[in-house]
Amino acid sequence: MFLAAARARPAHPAVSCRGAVTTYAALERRARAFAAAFAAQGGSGVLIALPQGPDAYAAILGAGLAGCYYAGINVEAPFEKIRRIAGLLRPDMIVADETLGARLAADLPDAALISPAVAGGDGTAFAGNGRRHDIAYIIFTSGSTGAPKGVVIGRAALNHFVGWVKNSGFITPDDRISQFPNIAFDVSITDIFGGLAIGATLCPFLGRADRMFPARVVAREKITVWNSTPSVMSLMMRAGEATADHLGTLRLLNFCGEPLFPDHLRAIFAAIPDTVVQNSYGPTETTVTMTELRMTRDNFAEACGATVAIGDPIAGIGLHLLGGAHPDEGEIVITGPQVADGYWRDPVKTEAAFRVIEIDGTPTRAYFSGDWAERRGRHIFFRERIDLQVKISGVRLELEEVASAFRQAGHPIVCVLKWRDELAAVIEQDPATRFDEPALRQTLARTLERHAIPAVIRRTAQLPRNENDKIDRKSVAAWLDAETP
Amino acid sequence: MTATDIYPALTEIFNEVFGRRDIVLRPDLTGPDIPGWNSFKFIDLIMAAETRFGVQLNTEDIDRINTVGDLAALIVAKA
Repeated sequence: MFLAAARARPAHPAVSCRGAVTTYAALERRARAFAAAFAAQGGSGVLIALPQGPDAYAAILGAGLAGCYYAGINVEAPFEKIRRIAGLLRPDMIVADETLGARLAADLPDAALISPAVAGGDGTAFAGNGRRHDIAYIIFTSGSTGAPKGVVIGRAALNHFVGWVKNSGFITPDDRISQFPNIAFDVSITDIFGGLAIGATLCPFLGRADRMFPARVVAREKITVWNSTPSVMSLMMRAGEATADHLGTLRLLNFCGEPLFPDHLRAIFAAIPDTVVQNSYGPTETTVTMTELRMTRDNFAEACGATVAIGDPIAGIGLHLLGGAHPDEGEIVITGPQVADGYWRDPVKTEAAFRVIEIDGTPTRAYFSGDWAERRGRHIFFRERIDLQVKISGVRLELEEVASAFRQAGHPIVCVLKWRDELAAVIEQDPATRFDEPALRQTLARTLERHAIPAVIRRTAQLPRNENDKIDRKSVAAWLDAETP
Repeated sequence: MTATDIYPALTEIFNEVFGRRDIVLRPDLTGPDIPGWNSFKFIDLIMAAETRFGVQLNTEDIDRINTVGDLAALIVAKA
């Protein structure tokens, strides 16, 4: 689909950032040059360790063109993590700059090191090498034990997802799309495969300041479609930059990867009332996202509970709630063409999460997400991770409900967790701000039962987050350990 | 306005953002030199400095800030 987009408008910008433009024709040349280099090496697995930008996108597209699969690396991640992922993948080829490439090659002497400089070569003659691996890409996520798990996504699954992006019309060829997530995070798949298949323009975020002040990048690059986790929206709100001046060019915002909250929607529609917000849900194991819910200022309120509803499954995908006390609640179980092949070289974990269920009498392969949800009226609401359901003094608690009470009490950023057999909450708050814990407890008591009010409430200037800007509960527990004798 | 002129106001901003009274700025001071430094503090400092000095910094400018001296020079150049 990218090649068709390049044929249709070769001079159209494929990538645009800070005044530098790469046209579709130029990106196609680079992609073919990478593909020629991959094909010449032989093998199928390509580790791509490049920052966001034309080289990374060309290498990703080139891997597909050469019939290979790829795994993206966040070059800002600690080297030990990169090394661990490379060791698990055992790629045939590594695309990285000279320094990082040399460090990785030391552990993987059989992998061919390919410099991004090959993209400057003449690859126009390369038109495929007659073979095609069934795997499209592998995304390494942090497993519950902290060891990375490689989620294996097949070409058919990726094609289904890209088909949805294209058919849903949320990206059009004239759009300029935020390319915020790094290439190791599957939210980037929407931008890179969805955006470039449609012929739109990607605007990569470069450097720490682009990430700290994302709304300024929207204004600078005249971005029309936003795609990220809701945490990035929180960052704009914190900086006081969720304003029409900054965000006025946005016609649609797509969120996924973590719960979206009503406060996000209120801030967006207050600033840019005519925009559309799309919420979507999907574990990495079902190819980026597999639900959609579009909202306007006129109808968003009905989709708001403690969080915003996750939407309905897209065409061809089954979303089932299993294991609950009644049919309208349970674990989200997903069937359909976007379900992953499994975990990379890990049959035990694959068998545990990917199981066969019976749908209308037909045995069907399904992914058990570990996410608990409920249907209220016409909407499905995410409630929490099953592995985070806790019992305090024998009473089952939903951490998300407790967090919601904190948000209502004026603490929008909070982490609630079971810690040392007690319920604990850590709020993110400027230390210069007065913290009245007794008053907060009184406020919480209006919405929470006594056992659901955390025994421990602490505050910190900044909650620890992972590389994808999500609050890292394990690090919060470690912080509590360190803070508490 | 010179960089020296803006240090008193910049010192006030730093102390306000960190909730302290004892921060003494010098040109070679970096963020991690200040206890409690984190990326949100950096955002708050930039926002406060922009408001106080009536300047608007773009993200390329902000990426070049490594020290207090860099910030002061940038404000002078933009004011």
